[in-house]
Amino acid sequence: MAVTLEVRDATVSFGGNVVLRGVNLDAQPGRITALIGPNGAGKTTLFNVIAGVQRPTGGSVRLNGIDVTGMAPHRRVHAGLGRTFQRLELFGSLSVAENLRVAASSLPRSERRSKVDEVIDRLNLGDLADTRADTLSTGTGRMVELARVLVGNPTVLLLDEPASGQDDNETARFAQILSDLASDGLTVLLVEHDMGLVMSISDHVHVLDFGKVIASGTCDQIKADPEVQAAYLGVEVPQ
Amino acid sequence: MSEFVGFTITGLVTASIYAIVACGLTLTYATTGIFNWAHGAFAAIGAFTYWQMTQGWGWNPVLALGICVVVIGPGIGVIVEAGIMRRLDGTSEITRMAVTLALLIGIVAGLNWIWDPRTSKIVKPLVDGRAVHLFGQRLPVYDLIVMAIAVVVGLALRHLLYRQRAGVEMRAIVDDRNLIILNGVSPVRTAQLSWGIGATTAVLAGVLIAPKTSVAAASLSLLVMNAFAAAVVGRLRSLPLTVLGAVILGLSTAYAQGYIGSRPDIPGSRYLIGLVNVVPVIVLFIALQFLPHERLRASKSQQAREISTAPTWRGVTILAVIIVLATIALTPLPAAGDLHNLTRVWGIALIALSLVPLLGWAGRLAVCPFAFAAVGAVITAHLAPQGQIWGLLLAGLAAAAVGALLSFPGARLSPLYLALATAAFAVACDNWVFRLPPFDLVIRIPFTDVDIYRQQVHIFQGGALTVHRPVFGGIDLSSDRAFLIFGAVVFALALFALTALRRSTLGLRMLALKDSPIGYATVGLDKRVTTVAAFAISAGIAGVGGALLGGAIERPSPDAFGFFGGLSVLVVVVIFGVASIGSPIAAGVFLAAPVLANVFPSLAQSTPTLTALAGVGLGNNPNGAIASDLRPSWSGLTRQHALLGGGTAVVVASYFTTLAEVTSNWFFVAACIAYVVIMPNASRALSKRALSKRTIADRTSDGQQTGPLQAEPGLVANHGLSASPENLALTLPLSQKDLATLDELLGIGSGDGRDA
Amino acid sequence: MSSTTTFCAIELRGVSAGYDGIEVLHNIDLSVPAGQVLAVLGPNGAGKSTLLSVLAGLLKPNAGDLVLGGRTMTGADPSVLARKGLCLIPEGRGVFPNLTVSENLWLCTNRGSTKVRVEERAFRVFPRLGERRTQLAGSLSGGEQQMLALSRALVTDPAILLLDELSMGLAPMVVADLYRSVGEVAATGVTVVVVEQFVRTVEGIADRGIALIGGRVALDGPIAEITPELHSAYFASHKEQS
Repeated sequence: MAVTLEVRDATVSFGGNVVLRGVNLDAQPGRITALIGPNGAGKTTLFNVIAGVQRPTGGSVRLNGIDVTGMAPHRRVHAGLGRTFQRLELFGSLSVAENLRVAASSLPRSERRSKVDEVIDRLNLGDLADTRADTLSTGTGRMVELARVLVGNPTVLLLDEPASGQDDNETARFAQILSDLASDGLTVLLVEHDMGLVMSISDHVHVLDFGKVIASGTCDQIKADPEVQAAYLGVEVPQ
Repeated sequence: MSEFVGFTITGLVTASIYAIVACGLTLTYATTGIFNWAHGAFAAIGAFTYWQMTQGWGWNPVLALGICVVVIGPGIGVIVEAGIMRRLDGTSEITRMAVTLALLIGIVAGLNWIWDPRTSKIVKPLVDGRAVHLFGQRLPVYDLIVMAIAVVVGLALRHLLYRQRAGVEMRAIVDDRNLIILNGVSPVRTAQLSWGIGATTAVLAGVLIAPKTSVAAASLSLLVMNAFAAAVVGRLRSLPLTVLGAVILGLSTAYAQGYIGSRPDIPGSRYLIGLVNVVPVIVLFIALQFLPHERLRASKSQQAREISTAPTWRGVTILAVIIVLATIALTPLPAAGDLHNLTRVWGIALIALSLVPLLGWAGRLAVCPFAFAAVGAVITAHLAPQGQIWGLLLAGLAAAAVGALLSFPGARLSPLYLALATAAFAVACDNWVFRLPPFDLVIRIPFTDVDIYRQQVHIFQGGALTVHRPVFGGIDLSSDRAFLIFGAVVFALALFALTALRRSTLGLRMLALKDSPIGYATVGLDKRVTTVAAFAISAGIAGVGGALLGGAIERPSPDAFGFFGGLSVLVVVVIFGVASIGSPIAAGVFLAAPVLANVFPSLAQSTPTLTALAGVGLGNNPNGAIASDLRPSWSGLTRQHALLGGGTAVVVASYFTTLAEVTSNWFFVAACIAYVVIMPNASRALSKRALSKRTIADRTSDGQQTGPLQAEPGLVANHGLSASPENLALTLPLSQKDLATLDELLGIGSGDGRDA
Repeated sequence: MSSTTTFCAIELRGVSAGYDGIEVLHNIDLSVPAGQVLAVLGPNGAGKSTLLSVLAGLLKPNAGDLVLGGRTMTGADPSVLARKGLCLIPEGRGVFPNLTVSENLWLCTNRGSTKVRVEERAFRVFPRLGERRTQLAGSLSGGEQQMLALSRALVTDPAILLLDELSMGLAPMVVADLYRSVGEVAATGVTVVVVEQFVRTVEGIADRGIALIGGRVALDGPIAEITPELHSAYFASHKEQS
């Protein structure tokens, strides 16, 4: 299968402190790939390396076959990358529709309006179009942030803990939308604490610990992996 | 050689004073996160009180110095911390800047109020006249004392920071604010100490510098602000580097003075004399370019977000019509002299308006609107000498070009550093560029002697520009009345232009960039385009404003566009709300209309004092007066036609009686004030009564749809509620009245089925 | 776990808390008897650090009350709580990196001790710190930094000690060393709350464990009893997706 996101040997160190030690990670279109791991494992750093906010000490990132390792974040967007944030980064003083309009301003003029309408429709945000973004609940804000990313027609979608701040209904709806997007051919990479969400929608899971990928596989493989259990629980659990 | 030694020693003396000031400034900033723009004003307080004690009362200079350092300095610090700065926790950068700028303006005004600025004040040095000879140089003993004091201050600070627990706490707070709290240290105490030390260093420097210059509030404040360059070399963090910065600053100033300033024989020296005065700002500008890039990161925990409601076409049309009509109506009233002063209103308002897109929407803290304005004035004076109307257009374009150029070195700076860089730019224009003697502007084909263009240029035309008021389609606008109305029309057009901008994609992108720079990058947009556009648009508006202001004054000197004047405009705009397009009107009227001076002729400093008082009170109200107070209390009125019509009729009637000289101008002023005070209150009272009636009616009848009011979140603000909606019932109890108001605003409770 | 007979050092009553509108803790009721060593376990993002922030007064709960030593302390100034005898060693580096070891210890004299006395006590427990007393804390190894951070707990004689992921990023040997010192502190009757992701690290010293999952207390009981339950608590979803 084609690989749209390819991380090779990513290494990051701050001073003498090595946070990532040669991480390899692939993500394919049409699938939801999850990245999990205990605190301090390096998930956020890896995420930032992919998004272009953190420059790796070594290794490379390829998006749709293009090497984007040294590329500025806003230029990666044109290479097909879209991301959301753990803490919402909406344009708070603008309305929901205006948030999407700003995102659409990087598209050709003729497509802007139709794209915004299409995304609002798809994510069912019509009722909120004129609401100021900083008055939204976190759960709704996550949906708006996703919408804002989708306006840019990404091929690879990076999501940083989308479930935090959402209630169970919102998480379920969000999960449904992610599955739909994946079946439309998007590559979805998820960094998430909420095991419920990860285990219910992921096709493939990578587990990071101490800056290394210690396991990758399907959800069931991961749940049964003794190394993962050791990493998460610090104990061997009898089957 | 001996000359070099002499310059070096002079430079080190200056460096000593700069080092003292800059260390205090850095200490305060690093430990409290507030950059004190009023630091120079503290120094001025020191110089003035020292002058009063030694010259005014004839006290012993050493005793006076002691009192300044032990009582005045710490006193200022503690009062300022407790009274003003403590409330700034968690406010936005622009609010912090406006508050300390207001403090600066207020102190300068206060000093000029107490001590008449027209009498010159000379301070004799601690030790008079005596000198020692060293390296073949005559060295005043006073200079040696200054250097010795600087060394003592340095050692004392070092001792405090490394050998005293309180000092270690201050260093610790720079490292990790939360952790120091977990160590049981109250940050308030540390802040007090650091403000005390900061103010004391400023006061001490003011006393030391006083004998070397004349004691004048504004110039002393600016002189001490030169030390900002040293603090920036220390990156507002490191004291040793700050001292190094002070040495660089002192030496470069002294060498420039010695080798260029006092040498009429070297070529081009007449162009460089002004440059000598601005060496510190050049050092500052260079130091800023060496700062590391600001990293793009997710927003910090608290980001104060200002309310910024997009103006509607209907609203801006009403506003524009009122502006033009009111100007036409009011022009016959004032005396001729007052009317002439009043012509400045729209120029200043336009310059103030230029701050709205750049500071209010794009969030770029540029503090040099008057420098852009001066460019506009210069261009119209030179290129439209007969008052051609397109002079205004050229003024705008030229200023926009300067603004765009400035945005390139400015784009990568963090808000505070951008403010410092633009301040440096403004001061350099003020003291050097605008005061350049005539020079030949030559464009020559390379490698030949053929000139395409040769023109002698004298930027400010020998000290004062001649700006002709425009002639437009045969209409001569040179009378004060015609020009004032013309200004109102230009301003009204600018309001429409800004409304269009705010509603356009570019306007949205400016706000988006301010709200979340990282989110902005994430949607694939390049911030440079938007930044350059914001700078150019803002500078262009300021340029047109400058042309208007120049036309109002007719022969403006560079002082009319001074850096200080720009600060007052900025503070007033922030007070009324830097994101509202209405606040510039307030700035124009407040700063240019002679109302206050007429009412209180004895208080020449009343305008800056009021500005300052309102400014330092900003801490709790970062949205500005329009969004938080004016709009909520007046918006209800638009629905009460009888009240609005009646009140307005009274004002109009009093206008005509005044015009017919039946009543005096004061009667009209009183009617206007009464209108402003009574209308919002009356409206509130009426709507309350109507509301209670309607609620009863709804209960009894089946409830007819009374037409739900639009609940536009930005507009609702606190209208009629005792707190903002999100705080109600959470941090404050929900009153019956609040419930009723909420129902009204949301259009529920009137039979839409929910409470059936 | 009812310990109504013993005096409660820490009590949370219906506490909900979070940041920026994201509620992390939901209606937590918790009481810790004086002298108990409580381990707070759970996957990341479950609200463990938030819980400690509430306990230390750094984060004001949106609802509910914090009761320390029988007195309601909701909204109290954290620096006041620290002077009264509550000690939180935060996650990561609980030291001031640009201050020397000795200066770091100097800041631990807030409860009436002297600089000399503090250094003497800290260096007795951690002799390696004594060798590095003039070094900047930022230049120490991770383990040494944690020793320095933990010194504050040893020399300020707190009544309540809160530890946030002391073991993060450290080799097992070092962790064991650190927890030995914690054990000694606990033996003097101090109430201790340790937050850890790994149950193994606290097996030796904790009397009782709770598992926080999704901001709620999912398990509560003696460590040995809750350990076997952890796997299903962590991996089985508490939010079943349809």
